[in-house]
Amino acid sequence: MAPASFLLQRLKSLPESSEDVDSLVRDIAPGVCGREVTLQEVVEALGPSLTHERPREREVGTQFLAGVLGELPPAYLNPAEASFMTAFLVDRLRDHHTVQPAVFLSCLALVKQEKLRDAEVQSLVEGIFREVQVQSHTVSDRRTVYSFLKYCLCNRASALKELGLSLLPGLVAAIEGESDPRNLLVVFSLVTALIQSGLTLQPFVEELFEVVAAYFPIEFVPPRGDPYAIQVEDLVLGLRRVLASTPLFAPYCLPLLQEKLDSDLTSAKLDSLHTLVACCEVYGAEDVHPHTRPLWGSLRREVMDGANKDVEEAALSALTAVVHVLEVGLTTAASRAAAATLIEAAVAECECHLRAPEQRLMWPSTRLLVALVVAAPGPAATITSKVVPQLASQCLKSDGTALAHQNTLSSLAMVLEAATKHPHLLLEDGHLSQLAGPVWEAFHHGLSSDEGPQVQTATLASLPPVFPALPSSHLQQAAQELTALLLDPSSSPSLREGIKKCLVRLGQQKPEVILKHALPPLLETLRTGTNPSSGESEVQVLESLASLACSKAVLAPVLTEMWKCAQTLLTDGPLECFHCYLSTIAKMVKSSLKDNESQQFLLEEWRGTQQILTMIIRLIQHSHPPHTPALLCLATILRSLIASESTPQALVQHLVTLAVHGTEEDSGGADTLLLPDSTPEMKRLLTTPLDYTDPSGSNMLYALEAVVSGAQNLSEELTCVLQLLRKVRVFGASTGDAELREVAVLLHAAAINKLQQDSQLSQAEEEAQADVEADLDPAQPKEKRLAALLVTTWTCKALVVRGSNLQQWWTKKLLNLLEDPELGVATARSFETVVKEHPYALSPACHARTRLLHRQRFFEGVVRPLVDTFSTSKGSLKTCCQVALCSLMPHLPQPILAPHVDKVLPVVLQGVTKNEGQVVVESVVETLASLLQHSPAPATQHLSFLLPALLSLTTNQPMAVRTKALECLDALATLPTTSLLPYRDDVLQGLKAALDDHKRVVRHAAASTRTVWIMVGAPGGS
Amino acid sequence: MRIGDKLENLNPQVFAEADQRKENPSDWDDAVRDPFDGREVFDLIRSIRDPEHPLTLEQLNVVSEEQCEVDDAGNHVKVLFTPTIPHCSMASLIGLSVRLKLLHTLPCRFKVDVVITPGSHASEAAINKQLADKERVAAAFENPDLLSVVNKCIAPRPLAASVG
Repeated sequence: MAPASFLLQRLKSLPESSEDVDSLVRDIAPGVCGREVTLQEVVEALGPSLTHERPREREVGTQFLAGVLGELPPAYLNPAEASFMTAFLVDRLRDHHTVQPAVFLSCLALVKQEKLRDAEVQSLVEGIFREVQVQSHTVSDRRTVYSFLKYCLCNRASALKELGLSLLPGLVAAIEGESDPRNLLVVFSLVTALIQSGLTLQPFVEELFEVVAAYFPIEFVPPRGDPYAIQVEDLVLGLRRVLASTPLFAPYCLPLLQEKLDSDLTSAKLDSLHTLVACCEVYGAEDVHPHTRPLWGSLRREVMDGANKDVEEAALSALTAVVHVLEVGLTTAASRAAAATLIEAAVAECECHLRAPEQRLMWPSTRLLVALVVAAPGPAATITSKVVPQLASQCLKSDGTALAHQNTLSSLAMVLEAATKHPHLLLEDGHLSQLAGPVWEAFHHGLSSDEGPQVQTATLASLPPVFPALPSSHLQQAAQELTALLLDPSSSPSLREGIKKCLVRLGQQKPEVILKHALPPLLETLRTGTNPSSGESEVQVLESLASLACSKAVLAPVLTEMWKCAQTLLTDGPLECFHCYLSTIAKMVKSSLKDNESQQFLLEEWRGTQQILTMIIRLIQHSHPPHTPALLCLATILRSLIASESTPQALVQHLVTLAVHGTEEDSGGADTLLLPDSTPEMKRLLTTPLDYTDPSGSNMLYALEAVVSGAQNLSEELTCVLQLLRKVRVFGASTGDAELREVAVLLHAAAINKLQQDSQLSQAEEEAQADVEADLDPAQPKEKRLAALLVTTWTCKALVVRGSNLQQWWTKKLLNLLEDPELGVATARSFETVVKEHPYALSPACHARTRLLHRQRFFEGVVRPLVDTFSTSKGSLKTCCQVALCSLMPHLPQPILAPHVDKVLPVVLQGVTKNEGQVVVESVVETLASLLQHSPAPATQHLSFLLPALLSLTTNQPMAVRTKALECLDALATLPTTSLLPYRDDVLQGLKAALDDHKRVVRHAAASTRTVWIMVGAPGGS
Repeated sequence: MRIGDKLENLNPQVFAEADQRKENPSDWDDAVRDPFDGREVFDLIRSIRDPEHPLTLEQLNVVSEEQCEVDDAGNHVKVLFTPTIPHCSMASLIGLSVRLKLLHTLPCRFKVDVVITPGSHASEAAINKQLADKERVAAAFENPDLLSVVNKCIAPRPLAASVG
């Protein structure tokens, strides 16, 4: 570091030199901080600058001082130095206006010094208020002043308190007229800080309010390319925080909100309503009640008009907030009276509209009442006691139409649902239980209505939210009636769906009611068998039982009964029926495994894995060839059970060992351990090694796949995994059964994915590489090569999902295979498999080793080679690249695609021409439609090519292409009007042909697309 | 707009909406031609908004499936509409909206008639004459203010306020 004397010399010659202030500060600040040079010496050395006759030189000197002060640690200055600096800066504030900004910076730096006394803070603040016309300074200088004041308010409030009455006028004068959005954010936080600091605002509350309320409601369009990216929401929320910061603002704020609420601007209305909600959280009943009547008038008008859904919802929440303030917390007689008058007026108005349930105002009235009921228990009791009996009796009237009946029921349910939010109204002697009789009567009448299925459907939709308001006796009745209706063969499928939903909700709330009153008749029907003419109703009963089994209490009897029936069906009944039972059980098991109690029952009491394994073996034995859907169903159940087992290792070990070696080696009597009650025939099946030539033994692959897929991991002790993988590869390549081949490939992928990350994995991968290379040899028959491609795809997926580096070889292999004349298109399509989610294989639910963002990683890896190959190649390879890209894109989330859209779009666009092959056009248009729906913007520069190409695809193409092309055009209409207008007339003309398409679906798409395009740039349109 | 300020029919009756069209297996068979029918025309106009209420023409029962007649072979479409009250001043505006929507979305081979349901409006004959007069209709669509109001009714936007 340069010696101190030299530095001070540099300072002395500052006026005439062309030195950069910042670099000078950087040189000197360390010396000052290290106390090699005192601050006083610095100021003295700055003498020539600070006393220079030119303001510019004085500004530079002060700026330097500000820089040095800003570098000092907070405890640096001693009281005497702080006092000296304060006096100096207050004096400087009187200097030329160009010098002042540097003084502001110095003040901001100085006030952060801990030793600065309160009196000195006061003199700085007073100096600024006295000497500075804040609004005559530039944007950044004004911000410095606001930051200084905010710092004082937040950290030196005690000093400002002593300023007394002079503080607020000074502050108001400083911020009044601020117009820069960035500064406004600071101003809003400054005023919020002032209010939170607890300084007395009287008698200047109105002035303070006016100076900020002048900005309400905020209308601000962010300039393009704003580096600070200030959004209108930031300003709106900042101002809202100020307005809702103190109840003292209430007398001025509420009339302002009222006035803006009555304006014609939707944005002003919305802002007022949201601000009103925020204010109600802070204002008290005493502040709000004088304004209740006019507020109610405006709020009810917005709801009754219903011109805008957002305004309507905001008005309803504001109404709730207002009534909540009046009724809850510190209330007065006056506020309670105001609330009572409001409720009375509301009930009087809405009651008469509720009597005309078919007319428009019925719904706004219901919503108003619901908003009032939600607000507080008092209004809830008053309103329900008047409205609920009226609506209930209206439901029983027989002179109305079905629509009137439906509307009344829905309205009744909405009011009751809102009332159930107040728990004490639900108590046994509570208000709602007194109304329960007529309410149940109304719903009971709705359920048994003969006015048509709509009334019953409406009743079923309205009933679940009302359950909490009904006592047990009525719920029992409800369960019985619903069950009877469910078993009634004349009920329509949609009605049954509604009943099931209703029963499920009832079961969640009161499982014992379901157990006692709904389950017995359903189980009885299952036991005795339903009417043989309606197989469909048996399915209905099964599905109902499955959906009801959401707790252990219900699951246990239902599952036992169903399993018994399934076992009987396996030997005596049609296998389709058996499959139907199994798929119901699969659904039930899947949903029950989420619940701990049910899971424990399934695994421990019911011994699920053994039961299912036995059933698989029995099914394989019993039918030749076995019923594949039923086998798949059983495998699904087994997979989810194994996935929930905490220690399935033993079972996995046994099954894998048996599949590889049979019983001869190392099985340790596993067969008896697995299935204690098995017959010799079953044992033989279980202990035969996996062999694709054995017709029944090969079906054990389903069980093996389920067990390996479901296992949490494959432990290192499992020595025969490599042998299993070899066997499975041979199986997949040799079997003629497509289903079994897929199962084999999935098993292979699951095992590769779950292997420990060590030599075992690399050995397995190397062996797979060698096998696949041999099978993919062009000399091999096509069938075998396709099988090897399937193995390649799934192995690649297994490695991609676990995020292993070994995937590189496999990805490269897939990219190379695109050139293969025989397998090119199939390979292109297989890219989809790698990124597409499979229902179970390699999913986290099956404990697959999953690395986050693996899809993104894979896509990033292949997108560039694909695009490059596309642009450099010709013929079928070009097509394959296109198809590969198109099959990848629908399965990737938009944020992943977004950075590549520019790159990928040209490739996709070239596919949208008729001279491309049909395969390409179909997949391209589909991809393009989803791409454009999410991010149409990059297409703007291709419009001149894209629009005619898409228009030509709307005719003389397969139906799917025509529809998708129209969807693309629809999505493009969302682009900015200026870029669309040149093409508008051509598009409208081009779409005319599609309006007369021979398929209605296409015509429908054409009509909606044309309507959207007509609105482009039209008066009243976009 | 305030209640009681401009609205002629303050609290109109709201009707149930029709279900979605039932799909036919042949709808997805490209070889089969689907003829135009009344339901298809109704689907085109059911979502037009009423000029004064936040409701659709279907919800107000101004248009219905039965009142849309189509002769596909004869290239003729006739739509009847029923104003909510006999003195409805919006009747011609509604008629124009229906006309314009059909003009945009039906193939040009169809001759389209839009008429008021007989006996449902006081100035039925005058409005029918107005709607049938091609030149007057074309002149109306040249007027940007009028076109703006009509476009607001037919623009494909979600419904302003929900019912139910």
